[in-house]
Amino acid sequence: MRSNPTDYQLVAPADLQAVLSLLAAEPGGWLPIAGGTDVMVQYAAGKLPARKLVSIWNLPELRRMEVLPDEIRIGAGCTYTELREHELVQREFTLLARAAAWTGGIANQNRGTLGGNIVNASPAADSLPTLLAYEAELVLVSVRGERRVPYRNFHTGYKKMELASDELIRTICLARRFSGHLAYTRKVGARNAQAISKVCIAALGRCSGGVVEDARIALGSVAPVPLRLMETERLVTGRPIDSSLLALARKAAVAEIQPIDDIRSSARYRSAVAGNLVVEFLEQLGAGENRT
Amino acid sequence: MVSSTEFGQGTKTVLCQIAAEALGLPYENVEIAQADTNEVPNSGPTVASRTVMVVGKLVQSAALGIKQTLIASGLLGDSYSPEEFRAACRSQVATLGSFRSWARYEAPADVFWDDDKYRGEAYAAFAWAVYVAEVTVDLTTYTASIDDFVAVQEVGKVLHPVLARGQIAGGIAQGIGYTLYEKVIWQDGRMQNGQMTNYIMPTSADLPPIRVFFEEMGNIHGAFGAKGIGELPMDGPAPAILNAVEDAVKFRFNSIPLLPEDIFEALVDREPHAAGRVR
Amino acid sequence: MTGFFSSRNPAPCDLSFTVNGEMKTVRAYPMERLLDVLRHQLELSGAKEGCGEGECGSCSVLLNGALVNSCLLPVLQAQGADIVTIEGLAAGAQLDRLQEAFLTCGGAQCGICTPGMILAAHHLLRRKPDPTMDEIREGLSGNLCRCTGYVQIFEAVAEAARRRVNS
Repeated sequence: MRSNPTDYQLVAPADLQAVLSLLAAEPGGWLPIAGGTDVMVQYAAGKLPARKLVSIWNLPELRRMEVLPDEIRIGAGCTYTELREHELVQREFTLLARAAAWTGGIANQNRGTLGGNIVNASPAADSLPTLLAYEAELVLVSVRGERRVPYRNFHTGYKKMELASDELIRTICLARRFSGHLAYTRKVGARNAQAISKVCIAALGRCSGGVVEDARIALGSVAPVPLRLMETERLVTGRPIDSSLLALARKAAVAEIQPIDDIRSSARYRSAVAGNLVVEFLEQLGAGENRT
Repeated sequence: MVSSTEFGQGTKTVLCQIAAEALGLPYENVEIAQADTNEVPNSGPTVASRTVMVVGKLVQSAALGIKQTLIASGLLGDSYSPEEFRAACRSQVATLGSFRSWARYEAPADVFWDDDKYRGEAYAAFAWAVYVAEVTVDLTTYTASIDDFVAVQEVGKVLHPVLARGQIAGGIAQGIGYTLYEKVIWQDGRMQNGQMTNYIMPTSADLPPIRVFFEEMGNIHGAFGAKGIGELPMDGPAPAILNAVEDAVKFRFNSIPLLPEDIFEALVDREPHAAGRVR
Repeated sequence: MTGFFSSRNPAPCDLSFTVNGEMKTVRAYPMERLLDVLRHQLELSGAKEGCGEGECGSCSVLLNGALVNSCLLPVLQAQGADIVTIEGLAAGAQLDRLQEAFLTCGGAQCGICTPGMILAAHHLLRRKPDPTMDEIREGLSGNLCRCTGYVQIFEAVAEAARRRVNS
């Protein structure tokens, strides 16, 4: 390991208020660490700039899952294991349950958290396109109080986000209105498990008489941030699903994304596969598979 | 006592089996020395699929030497119990002070190898194998995945079925790895993807069921007829898989690793008008 | 979990947790990895460092019953936890049925992945006592093995499951 533990401080306050007070006392001075599946990798590689960390693992306020009639509220400290095993998430938020199930291996799912996935803000993060598709809202907290923001505005650029230096994500809220939609999601990685995605898609759709009533298409790994394909969605909504729509949708999707060449894959491959995935989603939608 | 090293392939087990079989003793009665080069003779490195075949044969010969010496000196009959064997050895040691049997490798008389011209028969025996891969190429993601893999090996004699099967399965898994996954990315002479997160080894979720079968045609030059197997399973997977991919998409690939990006580029090149999903 | 609210300069602290049923107290820097504390201070070298980045699973241990990669766990977060390492699986000389199955089926070759692999299998069988082959593959997908090709590992896990069902 390339970091020296004696150079680091790690404290574990007993409750959320204590953590928020610490963050307020020294904004930007303390890096929150939950399950550590991202932070500790950087630390082991000698690439963690922060020297003072505050543990938010196991804060009960962040681990709650509240089920209300019209929404569920997922604590930011909930792990992927908790998400994939939660009966309601499996049933009504399939995209999220599946993304949780293919993030890392079992050991990483037991420690990685949804909040951590959001603030680590990797463009390849598995859960983030699902949150875009479900139009999630985030509850952010600090000593100054709390505010609720739409997730779609949260990432402002590569690893940049609308989060004040003394704020934490406390809850992720998902409206319970998508069980009637077709849920389509695929992750394309270098292998079937423990892979960082080359392209991933989370899409919801509703179709009636072969005509698209509603389509939400979100992709990961094709831009500096997870992306909703608003133009492609606008193009297909209200139109019958036929081969010419598929061709148009493919073209529109490819135009909306900005994939790059990197260590994992190529821009050309990502474009082609992204187009294929959008087409596959629409084909399934048109085939009348209106079940999650 | 040999210089062969155990690293999980079962060298210690099989060499003890060979000695036990040659001496007519239970396996539990044989001990193998730690391969401390201060103590053991030079029986060569643990490489080149030679341990069971070459070193094992020497162990077999040396063990037979022990047995024959004891029988010739009247201390043992043609058949004996482990206790009788032990007593015979004790007598021999008491008389001679120590009791050792050596075997040294000699190239078989009918195998001619010219080391100056690098011509001739390199080895006295060859192991043979057939590998069959059944592959699906997903045309949405251009990913080749293996649905089934069958390996048949003719290895002279299987001395330990579980260990032999483990070697074949492991070697095939490594072969699959370098066929479809393990690209080394170089930049200015430096490897860019030297971490487990970006050097892609197959996980348990990626490998097919690997079905292993053996044929045994014997080999006079190897221990109890065995031939070497360590390197054997590395050779077949890549050609089998690439041939299967060719059968699937009618395009001949001739380099590895074969990544989805490579399959995509080849198919798109062939049908540039079929944008995206190519058939 | 005890509150450690302190802005002191880095200093080691006393931490206690249960390891294989025994209460242990260690003095460690909070950001020392659990893997290193287990191996060096507690001399439990079963957990191995294969990658240090949570990819290979050789460092797997059970923490409060959950399989985790100990190379990614700051030891402070283990305060008060119930930890099981590979050394805790056998009951004296009596091997756990998974360990026995690994022996019979040839599930271990070089042995580096084996402690983590067995704990991952143990974790799986606790949740799914009669797993399908797909469930076994998925349950072990965070544990990389280079030697075996996984075949005889899967068979060992399936065999262990069968033995429990029959016992």
